[in-house]
Amino acid sequence: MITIKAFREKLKIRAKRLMTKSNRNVLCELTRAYFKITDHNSILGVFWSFIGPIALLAVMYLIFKSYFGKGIHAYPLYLLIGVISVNFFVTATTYIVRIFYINRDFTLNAMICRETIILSNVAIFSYKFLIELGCCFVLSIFYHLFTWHSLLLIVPLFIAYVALIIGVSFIFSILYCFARDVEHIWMFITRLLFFATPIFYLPDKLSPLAYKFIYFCNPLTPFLISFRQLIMGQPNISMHTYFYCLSLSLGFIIIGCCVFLVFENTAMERI
Amino acid sequence: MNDICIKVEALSKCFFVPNRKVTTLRLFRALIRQEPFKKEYWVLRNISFTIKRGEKVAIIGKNGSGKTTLLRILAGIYDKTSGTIEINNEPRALFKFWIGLLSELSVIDNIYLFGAVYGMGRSYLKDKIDKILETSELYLLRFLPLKDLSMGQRQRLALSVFFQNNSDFLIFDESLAFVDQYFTQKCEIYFRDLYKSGKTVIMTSQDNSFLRKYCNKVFWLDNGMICKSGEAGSVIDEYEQSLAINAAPVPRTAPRASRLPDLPHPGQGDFSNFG
Repeated sequence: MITIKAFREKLKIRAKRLMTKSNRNVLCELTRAYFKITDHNSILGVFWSFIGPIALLAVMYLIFKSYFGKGIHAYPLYLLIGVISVNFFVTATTYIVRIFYINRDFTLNAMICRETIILSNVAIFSYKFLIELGCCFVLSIFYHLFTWHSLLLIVPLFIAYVALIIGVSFIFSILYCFARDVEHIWMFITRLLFFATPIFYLPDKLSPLAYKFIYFCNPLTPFLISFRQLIMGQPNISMHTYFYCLSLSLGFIIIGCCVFLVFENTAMERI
Repeated sequence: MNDICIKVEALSKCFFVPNRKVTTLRLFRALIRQEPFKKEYWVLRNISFTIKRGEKVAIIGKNGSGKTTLLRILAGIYDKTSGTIEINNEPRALFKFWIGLLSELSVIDNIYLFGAVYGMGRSYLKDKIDKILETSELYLLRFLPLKDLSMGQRQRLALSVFFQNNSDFLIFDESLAFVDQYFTQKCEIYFRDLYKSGKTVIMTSQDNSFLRKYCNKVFWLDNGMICKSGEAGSVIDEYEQSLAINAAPVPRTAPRASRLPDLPHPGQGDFSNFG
């Protein structure tokens, strides 16, 4: 097992290596390459990324609008924010969990920081999420809910959400190298997360215990609440939830980095 | 200025390999009985050497003797199990030529991607792009997706980009295997210039005549240990003699059992992953 002194030394070396110009070049080129090959040879191209969430949104709106949608102003926007936020988290993490296995040859033969592979993939998913958030803002203008201060506040929240995904990806991509069961476990968790996140229902309508459970045990809930408060221009933005999101992502990124640094080399020998 | 490029002392590398076929039932049984499910497999054992700046070093040995593992440790891809390594120059290592190439991308895009993976930025490569396309003879195909090129053309492209590397410490692991005769001549020019330069080079190859020409020092690895090191010509001669002895035909009259190979012991198993 790695000692604290060795860990500190490793962290210092790795941070230095990640910041080098050479590594920044790799990150840029990999992101550019993945971006070019995403939706390659596809007629609808980037629109495929929207068709899935839009179909889900349409079905959910038709089914839930009369029951859950009662009393929620701009319910389509409410649903859209929920669908795209959870979809971003689920698709990005599900793909990245297997990233070292998919890129086994690359991981074992190239002298690059392995975090770069994860970061370049997260960048692609984040780009799509950013466009989807843009669509939400367009809808919020349509409903006369848009405010300028929410646009400013959403930037740190977006960064924090991406950081949360990076942290989770660091942890599970390393664990996957040790046991392929992680993929099944993750699929199971994400399915549960879909219902344990207030995508189509109001969290206030839940019992206090259920509310506490989805708020504190599911990292997606506070993010979704904050995204909604900002995009739907609610007058009383809960700063408590906003800062809880920031601290959650900080916690996940720290834990993710520690797991990655400690187990990276052993994991690479097992893929 | 420090004259030493790499100093390795008592370097060892151990992998853990299953000592029986892995099934869920056997795994549970081993856990209940607290039996070890994996055993140690020492790929490198107590290796020490020093390489000075500007030296051209070849690492020779049979398949599975630990050459690639040693190079991967020097390149920082694998972690060592024990020992110390002091590296004063950051190496650039080429293990498999297809690493850093994406088949869906065009030749031009692949040049930038491959270059970035091996430490060359876009601005640096922009001036070299014509030279790369000319060396690889892919100028007319520069906008074609890589998947439409043959393996030989891909290798030519990868090597042509890697040859632009201006790092002072280069590692080649069987990089010229499968290169056609025509491109070999171009590679020979590159390696001749490299030999005359002050760069430090470590390479492995099964082509001993190539190593004899472009290396001045050789480490002979066997069973994860350096069994001989020294001036290139003499060590390669001894290695070839040992190969000739081992390859001597077994008499036809010999009993069948004696012709069976020995079971692999540490450092001899056929684990393509381990070098």
